Amino acid sequence: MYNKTDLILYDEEYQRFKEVIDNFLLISGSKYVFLLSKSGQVLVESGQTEHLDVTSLASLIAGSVAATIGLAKIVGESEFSVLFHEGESSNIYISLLNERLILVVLFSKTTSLGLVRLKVKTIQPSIQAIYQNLLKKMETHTSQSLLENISDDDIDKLFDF
Amino acid sequence: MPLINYASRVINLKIVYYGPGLCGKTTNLQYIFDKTDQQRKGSLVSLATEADRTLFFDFLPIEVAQINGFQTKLHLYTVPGQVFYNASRKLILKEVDGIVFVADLQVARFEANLESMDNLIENLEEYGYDIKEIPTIIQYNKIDLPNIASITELDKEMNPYNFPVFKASAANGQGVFETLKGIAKLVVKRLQGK
Ligand SMILES: Nc1nc2c(ncn2[C@@H]2O[C@H](COP(=O)(O)OP(=O)(O)OP(=O)(O)O)[C@@H](O)[C@H]2O)c(=O)[nH]1
Ligand SMILES: [Mg+2]
Repeated sequence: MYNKTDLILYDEEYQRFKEVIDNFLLISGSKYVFLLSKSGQVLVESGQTEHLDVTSLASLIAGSVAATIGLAKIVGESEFSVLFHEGESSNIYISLLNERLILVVLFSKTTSLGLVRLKVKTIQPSIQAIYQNLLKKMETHTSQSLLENISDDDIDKLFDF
Repeated sequence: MPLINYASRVINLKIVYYGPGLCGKTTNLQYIFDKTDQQRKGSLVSLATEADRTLFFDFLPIEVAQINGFQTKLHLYTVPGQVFYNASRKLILKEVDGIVFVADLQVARFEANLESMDNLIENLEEYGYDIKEIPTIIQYNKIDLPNIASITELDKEMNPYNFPVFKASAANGQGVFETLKGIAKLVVKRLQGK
């Protein structure tokens, strides 16, 4: 029913991703971390998000990662896998994990970049494993009845905004 | 590509407004932003030049409807229409779920519309996408202006696949939500495999 390229996040993988990044938040001493699809959608997040417009942040990061990949191609690199932005009081570490996923870490001046970088490396295999599992599931799962029993009429009514 | 999140029960869909420079893509998003309830919208992010031309993209997330307990969120993007920004324009198309092609009805922009449509098809092809497979609609914009082309004639040149067509005057809001609903419906029907 869905395109091959759809990304479907099931409860189980969500929980497993969540565990990994919750733990990452603790051991790296960062403030906020999230897993992002390359198209700019947040899959899982952990940490303090108050006063943070996560959706806008996510779209800007996806845009800047896309731009970075584009410029890597122009200079003949397959890609630059990490982006780092350093501010007065906070830093953003952005890491391209695979062809679909981006890990974003926000941390303060008191946390060391070295530690964040190291811990990102440490969790990469677990994230990759969960992701591979997810891909398999998306292939084999008979599509759930998300949109069954909905007629065109119903859809027309849904968008009466 | 839609992201369907069973954990948070959200479906995210990416809609891209495409079209030649100054056709009114950003104006569409601004109007939607202005007229949408606070609790249903996020911020409008605009990466623009000093002269208010889109440099990379505009982005506006809005919540539109509940479908079987899933919240449907549309991520609306515009591309930069100016010809020389093609590299960035192409990036925005990645993983698109639905396209609104905004055409500028002004006579002087007739060719620019056709070129932009060709450019869209070409950019999609480079990702291995076929425009016929992607939910697409065309908005004929600026119907309020005096010196405009005939829609029938422009449509004959621009719309060989008979995508649904909407008329608009985005600057005063006319047709903007009709267009948005039009694409939202197509994209959801597509999710259903129709
Ligand atoms: N008369 C009239 N003017 C319009 C209409 N829609 C947009 N405009 C005007 O056209 C100009 C360009 O609009 P934008 O929305 O910035 O165009 P754009 O497509 O985003 O342009 P780029 O970002 O360069 O690709 C602005 O001055 C708008 O006010 C319309 O329906 N009628
Ligand atoms: Mg614009």
